[in-house]
Amino acid sequence: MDIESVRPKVSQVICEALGRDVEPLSLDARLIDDLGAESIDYLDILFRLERAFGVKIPRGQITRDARGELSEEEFQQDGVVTAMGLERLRIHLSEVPQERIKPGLKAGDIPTLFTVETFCRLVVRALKSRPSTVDS
Amino acid sequence: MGYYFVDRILSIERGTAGKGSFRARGVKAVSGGDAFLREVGGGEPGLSPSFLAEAVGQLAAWVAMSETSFRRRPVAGLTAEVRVRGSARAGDQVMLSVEIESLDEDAVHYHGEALLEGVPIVTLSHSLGPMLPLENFEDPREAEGTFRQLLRPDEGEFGTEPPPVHRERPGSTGPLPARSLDHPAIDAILERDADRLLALTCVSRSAPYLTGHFPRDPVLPATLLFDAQVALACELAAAKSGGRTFHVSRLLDLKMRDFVRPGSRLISEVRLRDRGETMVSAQLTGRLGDRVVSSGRVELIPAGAR
Repeated sequence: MDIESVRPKVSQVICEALGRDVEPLSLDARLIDDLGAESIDYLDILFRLERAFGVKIPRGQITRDARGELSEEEFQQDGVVTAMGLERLRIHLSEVPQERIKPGLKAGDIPTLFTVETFCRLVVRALKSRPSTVDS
Repeated sequence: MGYYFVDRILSIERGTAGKGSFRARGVKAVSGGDAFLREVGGGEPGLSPSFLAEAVGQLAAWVAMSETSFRRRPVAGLTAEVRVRGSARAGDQVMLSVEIESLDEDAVHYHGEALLEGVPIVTLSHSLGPMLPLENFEDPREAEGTFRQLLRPDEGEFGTEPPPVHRERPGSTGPLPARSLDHPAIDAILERDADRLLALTCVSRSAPYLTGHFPRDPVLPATLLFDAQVALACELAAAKSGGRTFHVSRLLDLKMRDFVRPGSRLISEVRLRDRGETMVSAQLTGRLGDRVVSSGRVELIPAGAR
């Protein structure tokens, strides 16, 4: 299971959630800036992805994954992502152009970084962590 | 006119389906003096399915507010499906039941139903409400005070649910308003052809429906908007079929994407899609300028087909 294999269904889910004609989406299309998503659409997309792929994706999973081992204080201070946090984001959100992850980024604005590939990666991780069926 | 659809909360149980899950029961008494009553059957006033769904959602919202110590509250959101089997008329006592599957600082996820004489008349599946700071919308202490008034555990009087007044037609349903211009959220029909209709909603700060929704940040209630669009869809379907009356069977993929505040001019587009012998479907879209702020679908069935 890789990004390309889940991309058609992820594209379909995103298009349906945003009320767009269903079409293959570019992996680097940004949800907010390019596709016009609002914050409620993120909840909707995660919800639809869970149903489409039969996985559980806790809300906030993307940002929790992005924070990784860092504590909340290490990751952000007064709502602004710290230098350590930015470094961590650049690694975790490697699909996002590095110049977009810049000093002064507010933690609340992290979703503006998300692309179609971000959601494909999320699904792939969820599928891989899904308990496998043991053959009898 | 207050925007309140839960009259009493009977019980809240925690951990019914694991950590962060809850089950709650409540009551909505449908009175002839209620706001938002419409003609629901035989010319009698009643509460349309949209507002019964709102009552279930408000019960979930009370639990969510209480469990976050009145710091957060769900506002608008989305519902994957509302299945309609009836509506309630003045004189009916509707029992509300909600199962909260998960609740955290970001969102509440729930399903539930409104029941009349033990029979579900409206069922909500997969509903999600984003949790936002409550203090942005209302005074947290007042919200908590209202919650304390509503929370009166079942002391027995609801152990045996009283029968509806209209026993001869329990859980009956009927037409939504045929004249959509009577709807408080429709100010004008702008364009109309056989399959499509554009309607205008001007959101005035003095509109009675903004009372309580919300005191600190009045916004057009999503349910009121969808109810208006459904009324338009019923009217469009009726006109196309030579005056046949249509009922709501299902509402699908309802989503409010942004707040609509006083001063706004919202355009609703209702477009009939599939049409069969037993069902008509319509796409419901709300726009502020070019921006889509609400979307959903409704399936209608002819009277007598339920």
